[in-house]
Amino acid sequence: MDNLDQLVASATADFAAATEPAKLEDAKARYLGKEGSLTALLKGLGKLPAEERKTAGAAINVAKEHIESALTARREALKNAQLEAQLATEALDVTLPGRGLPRGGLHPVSISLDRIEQLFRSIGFEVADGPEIETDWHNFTALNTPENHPARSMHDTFYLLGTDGKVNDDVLLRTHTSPVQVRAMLAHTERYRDAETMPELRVICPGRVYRVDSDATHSPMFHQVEGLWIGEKVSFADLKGVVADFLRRFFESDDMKVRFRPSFFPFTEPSAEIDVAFMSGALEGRWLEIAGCGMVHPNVLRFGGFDPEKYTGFAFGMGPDRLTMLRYGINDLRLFFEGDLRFLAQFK
Amino acid sequence: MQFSESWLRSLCNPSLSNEELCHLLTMAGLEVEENEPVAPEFAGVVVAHVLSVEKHPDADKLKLCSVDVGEAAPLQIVCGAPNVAAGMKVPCARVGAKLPGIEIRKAKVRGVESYGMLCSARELGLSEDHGGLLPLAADAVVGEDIRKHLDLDDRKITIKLTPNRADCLSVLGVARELSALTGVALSAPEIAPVAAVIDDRRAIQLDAPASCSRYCGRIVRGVNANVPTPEWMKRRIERSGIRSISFLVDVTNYVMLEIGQPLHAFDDAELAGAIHVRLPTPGENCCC
Repeated sequence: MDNLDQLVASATADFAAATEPAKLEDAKARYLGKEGSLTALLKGLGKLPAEERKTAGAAINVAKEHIESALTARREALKNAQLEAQLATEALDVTLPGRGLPRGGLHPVSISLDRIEQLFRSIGFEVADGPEIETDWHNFTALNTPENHPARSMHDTFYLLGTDGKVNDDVLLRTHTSPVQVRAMLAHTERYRDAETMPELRVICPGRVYRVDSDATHSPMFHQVEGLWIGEKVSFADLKGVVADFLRRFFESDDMKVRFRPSFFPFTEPSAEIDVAFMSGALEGRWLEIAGCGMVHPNVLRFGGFDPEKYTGFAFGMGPDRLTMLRYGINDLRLFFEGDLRFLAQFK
Repeated sequence: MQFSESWLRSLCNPSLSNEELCHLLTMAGLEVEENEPVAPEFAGVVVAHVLSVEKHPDADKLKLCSVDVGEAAPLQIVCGAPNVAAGMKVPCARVGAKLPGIEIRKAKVRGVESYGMLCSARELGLSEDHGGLLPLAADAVVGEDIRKHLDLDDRKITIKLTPNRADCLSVLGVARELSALTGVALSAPEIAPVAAVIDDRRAIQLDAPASCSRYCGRIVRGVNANVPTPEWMKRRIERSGIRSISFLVDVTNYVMLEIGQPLHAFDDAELAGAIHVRLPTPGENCCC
């Protein structure tokens, strides 16, 4: 039975020589596999005389157990070595503090809206809010723009579908923040209906508005800030003073030029557009349209519950998107709505 | 509303520069949106009369032209345009002329001296037309600067009108405004009434009287529809953004641009029954 001992010794040596699992399995096949040398000995048992068969079989089984235990030991050893190596390369310090969430920042338009609100609050304006889904009456009729008025064509309006799936002409996405003016006037006159005196109404209405328009300088959704001041002696001079002062403070520029250019809006008379020109920088000397304004039309005052014989007021509407573009030197409006962090992170 | 500055000035001509004029209109509520020259800068191009055309001795596609530019001796100019012919009047860039992108010099073309260049509309930057030389009117004065002949120092002005200023949807309307702003007299076109001499009538039916309460028509006979539109009229309507189509269409468009009255000419022989004035039906395509 010497060759059995030899076989065990050579198998043990081969296993020890195998440095990785695949080679170990190859070595195993040479001894214990279908064509392996030990398997061949087992197959040869049948040829032996019956009296020798028992002892020979027992001896081969002992040898097989030795080889198998050597194999198992080697497998374990290799597995442990592999684990050790893996642990060494993937050293993980579980006691380190977590990375946490990065700190976000405000959107540049939100920053501008905050500044605008703060500047107007400082001169006694309140901030009012209104629904983005408006009625035709608030968006047009009460603003002196009855049905078929040519000024309706200035706005490409989104109308809503009714529950019957048909376009509902009475409900729309507001095309400007001016309907909030109407709501603010009605609430104000209602509140002081029975009072002896009525305080002035000073309000700004920032918010989202919608028009059917989309290119480099137009987005179907954009922002507006509406301003309204109604009182007994409010004049165009007050309008000029408030708006020009606001613009100088918003742009932190004292040498900025502001001009009022005659224009037309159905809800103000007279009406003007406001242009600014910077005295330095990339846009130096160019007139840039920035807002529309005017004295509130008597019909609008009447719709808001004010007596136009007693009260006058001014209103203006400006685009904070455009103000933001000018303030930060951004040239494409669409950057505001793409949600690109590389862009937004610059405003923290 | 787009119009030609020189047309506006023919009705009211204050002594203001183009820039001052545009500023004045803008600050009066007629915002000038665009203000561009009708032709790029160039100089040294005159009206020329092609006296004779011969084949170039050494080139199949080139011709030797003898051209009168209003000087004692005609110039010899090599020209490759397919439409060059003796007797025609064309723009000629003289030696030393500066065209958009090139300066004209005395040159030898395939061994023959050439003293200038006969020009296409594209070479003068007037249009994309490069099919041949730009033919000028037969009565054009030889030697006259082409900028003067074609009124090329004119500018196209576009004003962005607000919905309350439909009165300025015509050259006369803008001129009236300009006259009020400057105090310079308005020389409005005189419109003398012409009595009807034809008794034929075509019925007019106002189907939407709330939208159109008045519609006038008159039958005019004996009109030659095939005469070409005069160049000056063509220039004015084209500089107002309307393409020249045919004489009769051009005349109606010209009057509409001038005084703001929409009008249209129909071929009476093509009509049957009354003219109906109505609103379009939903989804109807009116721009056929």
